[in-house]
Amino acid sequence: MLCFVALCVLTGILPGFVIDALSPVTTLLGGNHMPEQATIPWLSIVPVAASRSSYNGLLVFVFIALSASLTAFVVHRLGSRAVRHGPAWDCGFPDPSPMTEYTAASFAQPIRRVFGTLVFRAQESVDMPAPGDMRPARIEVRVRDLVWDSLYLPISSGVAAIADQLNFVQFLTIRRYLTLVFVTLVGLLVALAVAP
Amino acid sequence: MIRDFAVQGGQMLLVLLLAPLLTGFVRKVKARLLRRRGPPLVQPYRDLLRLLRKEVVLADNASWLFRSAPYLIFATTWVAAALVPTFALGLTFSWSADLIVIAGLLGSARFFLALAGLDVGTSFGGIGSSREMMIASLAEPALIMVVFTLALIAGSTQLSTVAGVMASPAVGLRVSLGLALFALLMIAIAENGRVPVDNPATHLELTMVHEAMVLEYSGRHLALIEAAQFLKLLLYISIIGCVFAPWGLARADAQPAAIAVGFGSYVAKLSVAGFLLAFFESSVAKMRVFRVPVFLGAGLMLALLATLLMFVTQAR
Repeated sequence: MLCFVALCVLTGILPGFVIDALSPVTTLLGGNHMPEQATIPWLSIVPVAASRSSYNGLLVFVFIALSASLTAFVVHRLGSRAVRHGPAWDCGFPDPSPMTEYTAASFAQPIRRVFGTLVFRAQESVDMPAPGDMRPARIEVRVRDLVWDSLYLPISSGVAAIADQLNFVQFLTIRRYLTLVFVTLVGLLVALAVAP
Repeated sequence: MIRDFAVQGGQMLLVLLLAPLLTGFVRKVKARLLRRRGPPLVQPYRDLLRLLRKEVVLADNASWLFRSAPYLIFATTWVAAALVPTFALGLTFSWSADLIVIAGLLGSARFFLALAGLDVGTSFGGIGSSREMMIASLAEPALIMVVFTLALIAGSTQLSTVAGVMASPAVGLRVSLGLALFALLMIAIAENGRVPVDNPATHLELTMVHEAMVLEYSGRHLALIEAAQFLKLLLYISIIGCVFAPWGLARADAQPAAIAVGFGSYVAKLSVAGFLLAFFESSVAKMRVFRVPVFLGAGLMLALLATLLMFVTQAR
């Protein structure tokens, strides 16, 4: 894991070398590649011209590291260094229990709510019992994942349909299996002989 | 070379020194508009110094991330603010990063703040973090769209070049520029947590976003987060000023008189923007959290429309 982290940081700080290393790939895919970046002074990356856009990951990194260290130094020197440990304040909220803890689902709740109608086609249905009925009211939200429905579902249902069609292959006699293997072998050999 | 570094260093110090003053000015104007006397202009400096001198009360279960996040948030915001031309163009380090990098630096600061909000594990921090991410999911694409519009007009994402082109007579009044300005204003209001998106002056659990995330912070850590917030407001006003009102910007190699003019016009721009912000904030009501996406969605659509208009007119 640490190796990947280190690689990510290096890629961000020295992007020129990565872009140069990837140029054969872009040439193969798009027929063109960016000008060589590693030779540009100060390890900047300049896609077209410096006046249009340029980026120097190393300098930005050094800049951030220096200003963070300087801030830490000045704050600790001029301000207080004292630290007192205590329980979390939490605005008077009682001690957190597993029931009240913030989960991934709670984190995603605002985004689910905002994009719910458009992206997830959320449908709310309210089951309100009649007066006098003692059962609790229920609100149910149905969420559809359109990416799953339009991208993966056709593939998975296609695979399932083909598997259903070919299901009989599992119930052949030994003689038929041997024939199948033999026919496949002949077919492959013919394909090999025909192919250039 | 030394002079260039001096101008760049001056810019870094300038944004740091002016940011609390700007916030103090906005607070003062808001108070005066409500016929209150309001705190003195230097109150934000006093608050920062008071917080710096206080001890930090740290939750028992806070991790190293919680303690280091304020420094990272402050440093990334400071660097981003130092990359925006305020009073002079062509700063020494302006070629090291463009507008997209500035957006990225602000995104990193937000990421660390959201992580710090989740770190202690209390519910309020989590609420704040998830709301902040919801706002970011709409504000960041809109900001990038505005950057694309500017890049289509100026042929560059470099802020110095963009400001130079915008100051030249080649760029007249354009519909797409108006739309982009409107979108950027909406993004700036949302990103800085100003009314109507968030109210920096209250601690109401139902609506707070930024304050919920920093609820567990105290002492010097809180001072740094507050300072980063002041810097962010200054940064957005500086971006709007240098792109949409690039008057009086001095060249880096200009004479001291031109630099003084640039400085004067920068302070004037900050005052006008601060007054307008205070006026706007006093005249609208805070909106519900789940109305914010509608507000930001409108900003995103405006920015998208600006890019499309520019794209279509340039293609012809």
